[in-house]
Amino acid sequence: MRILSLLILSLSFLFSSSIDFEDSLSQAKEEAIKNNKPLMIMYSTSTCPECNYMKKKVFKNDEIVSYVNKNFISVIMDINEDKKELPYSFIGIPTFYFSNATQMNLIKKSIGGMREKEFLNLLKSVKE
Amino acid sequence: MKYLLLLIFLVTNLLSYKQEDLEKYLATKSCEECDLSMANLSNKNLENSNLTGSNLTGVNFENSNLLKSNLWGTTLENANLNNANLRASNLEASILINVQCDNTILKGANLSNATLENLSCKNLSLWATRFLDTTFDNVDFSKAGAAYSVFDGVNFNDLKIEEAIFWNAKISNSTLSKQKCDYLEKEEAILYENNCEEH
Repeated sequence: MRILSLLILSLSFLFSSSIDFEDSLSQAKEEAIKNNKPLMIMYSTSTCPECNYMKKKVFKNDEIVSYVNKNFISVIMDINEDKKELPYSFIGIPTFYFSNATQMNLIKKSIGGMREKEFLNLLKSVKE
Repeated sequence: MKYLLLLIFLVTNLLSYKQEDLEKYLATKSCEECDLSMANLSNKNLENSNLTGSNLTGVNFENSNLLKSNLWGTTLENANLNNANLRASNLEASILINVQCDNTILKGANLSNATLENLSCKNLSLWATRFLDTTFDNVDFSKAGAAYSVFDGVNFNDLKIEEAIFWNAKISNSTLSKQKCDYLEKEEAILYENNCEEH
């Protein structure tokens, strides 16, 4: 019984949907160039409530997970820990930057937390 | 005519800030129990200000940065807080009446024991803001971002919350309509020991 519970738990983790965030900006750029996809960069900190709402609520939405993973290469950058590597200036967090990986040309920028529907519309507007 | 001009001069002076208070504040960013009423403090970096107990009636803080400021016990009647950043500021026991508050950032601010009256704010940022025993009278927080906010001992009857984000907000010991309780539950707020009244 214990083994069965463990197996179910492991499988639920395996199949639970989540956005595939790269570990670093350099890795994300490499993947984006290789897969010919734009980058989605999120500036954040662990203590920012708006960022945590996005990470724990919005990024768990199946439609968003599927859309982001299909169309973007994503990375979360901590404005304190990754200070020296931040490619763009910012005035607040969370800020979402959508850019071309080769030149890092900005396609779109959006500041602030938002509901699932609004975020999905933002993602779609980048792809249009 | 001379008397009329003198009267206008006196009334204007009575209703506006004390010049020495304004000079002190601009020089030090600290002015406790000062009179800064009607001062134009827009487009300024006023981070870490101390304005404890000051009269800020009619002050224009539009586009100003008041990050981590202490506004404990201030009077902000008819103040302009449009696009002002008050993140992590202390507005405990402050009075906010007829305040302009479009795009105001109150993220992580403390509005406990504050009095809020006649406020209608567009795109208000209330993420993780604290409202303990706060009084609301004709206040509109519709469409605000208020996830992780804390409301304790609050009467929601005069507070509009339509379409506001309340995910993971904590609402306790408060009085709400059944409709608002249902909305907050749908928003996945954490509700306990509230009075959800049927209307």
